[in-house]
Amino acid sequence: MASGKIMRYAAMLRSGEITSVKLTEAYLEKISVLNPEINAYVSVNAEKALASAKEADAMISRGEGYVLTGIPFGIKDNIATKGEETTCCSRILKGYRPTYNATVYERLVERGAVVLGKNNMDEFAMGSSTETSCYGAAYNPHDKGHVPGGSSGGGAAAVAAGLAAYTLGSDTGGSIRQPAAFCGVVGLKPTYGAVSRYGLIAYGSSLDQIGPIASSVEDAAIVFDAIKGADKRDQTSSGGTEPTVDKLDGNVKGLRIGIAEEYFDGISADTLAGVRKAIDFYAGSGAEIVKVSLPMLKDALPVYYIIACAEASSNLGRYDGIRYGYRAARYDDVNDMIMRTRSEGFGREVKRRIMLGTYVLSSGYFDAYYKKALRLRESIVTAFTKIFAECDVLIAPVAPTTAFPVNYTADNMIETYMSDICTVPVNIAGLPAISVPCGKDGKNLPVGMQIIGKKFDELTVLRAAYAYERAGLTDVSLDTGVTL
Amino acid sequence: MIERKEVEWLARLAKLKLSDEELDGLTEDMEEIVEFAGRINSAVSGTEAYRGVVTPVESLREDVVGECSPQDLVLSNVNGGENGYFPVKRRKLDGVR
Repeated sequence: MASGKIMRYAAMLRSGEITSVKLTEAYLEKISVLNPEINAYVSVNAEKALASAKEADAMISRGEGYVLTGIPFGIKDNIATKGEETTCCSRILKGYRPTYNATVYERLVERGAVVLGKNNMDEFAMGSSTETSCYGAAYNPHDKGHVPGGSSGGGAAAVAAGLAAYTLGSDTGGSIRQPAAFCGVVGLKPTYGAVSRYGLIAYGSSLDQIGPIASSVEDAAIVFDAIKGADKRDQTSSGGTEPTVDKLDGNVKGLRIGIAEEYFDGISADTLAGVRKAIDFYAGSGAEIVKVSLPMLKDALPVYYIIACAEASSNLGRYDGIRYGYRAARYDDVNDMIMRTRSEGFGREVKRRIMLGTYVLSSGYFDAYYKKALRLRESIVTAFTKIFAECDVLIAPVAPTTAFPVNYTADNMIETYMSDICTVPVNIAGLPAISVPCGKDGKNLPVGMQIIGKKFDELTVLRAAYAYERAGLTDVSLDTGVTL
Repeated sequence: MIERKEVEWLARLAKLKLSDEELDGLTEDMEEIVEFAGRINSAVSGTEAYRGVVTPVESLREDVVGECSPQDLVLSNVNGGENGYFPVKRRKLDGVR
């Protein structure tokens, strides 16, 4: 069975077998050895981590601890941590120290979780390989000649290499699920609104969601339970805090699993084999396999890129060098300063997406692109609603292939965009989805499958994933643990 | 077909100052990207307008005045600012103030 860490560490901490300080030191030691090779972290705050670990030990000895108390985690560099540099791995935010904490960070720290540092990512979460980071690329621990995926590639690589018990990532078009699949770990993208976005530096505000990346479904559920729930600082958030982890069992009898063949077009043979094997497992375990159809799937990619880039062009309009971050060294006047700052501060992929967003929102193109994309978005939402009258979850690949070779995306821009075909529909419709390992390909790279659920039905998604994990079919782990 | 002049205009709208080399590169990129986004033209949408991603809105805070961030905190990312302002000093390209 996949090696979940959280419950094991929690038991060891409570029994006194280890302390949080010792556990944190062990992770910091492992990061110092392995991080130079895979660049999963762009910053590590050892002093703060150990101080938090000491407080966590005190909490535990007072009998006040939670399951997550004392357990070290990593956090994506687009999630605000007060007073600590948060840059979205972009030059334009170098030196920026948020004046507030993200809600998800507060909810974990209140429970005594120990943050190790900031994970590498594609600049402003725009990418599928974690190669556009201003701190340099991250690499896949399974094979450093391949990418860890993106944009939460640093977080996925950290979990896969055993450099954190879990990490927090963000998913706008697949940025938790795809790197989780590429790195052979579990990644959950919650329903839009299930987790507060307060403190998440925005890319596409109607698409972004924060979620856990972990080494097991159980661990992902524990972290999700801790971070979810309505937040008055994010009016798009809703939902309660009822735990899902207590209700995980291995039972899928009667579960209706939809298979839309449109998801399986153009998928590599190894990925197909892995996902089909999973479908056979569920059929053999008493689930009902239901054929469904999603012909709108082919429209999802241009819809996503138009909406995401339109929102990004607006969101990234705030970066002007005046109040924080990078400022150009030489300029004629304020307007010139703003333009030079943005040109020098943003990387090429970010500029591309800002430009596309500006294009589709501009006069003369607005109706043909943006307005049409919104209407298509509604049609996609309706299509999923109809499908979920016939089934409880969908199973699909996470990506058409396993991890790309390093530098592939630089020369294959459109092909890289198209590789998001399996993930973006979920963001368009605001649905929950989890990526779970389901094997390896001929090059020993992990294959991931995706379980997609109805809005706010993370429980059914997690239960289905847990059944596969309990059968021992998800373990592609590299993680040899930390030396305690 | 997207022309260099159009890309230049988009860059101005997006408040980006691009070099000639960047402009050439982005023109090439934009050609491909706009063609990719243009696939939407062949898609058949329904007639329903988009209802929004969150229906209904649940999490509204009370409509009461709360605390503002203190000025020194807000200015902390510009080394404290100047007299309560975000300073933007003129730094001419030719070195003359």
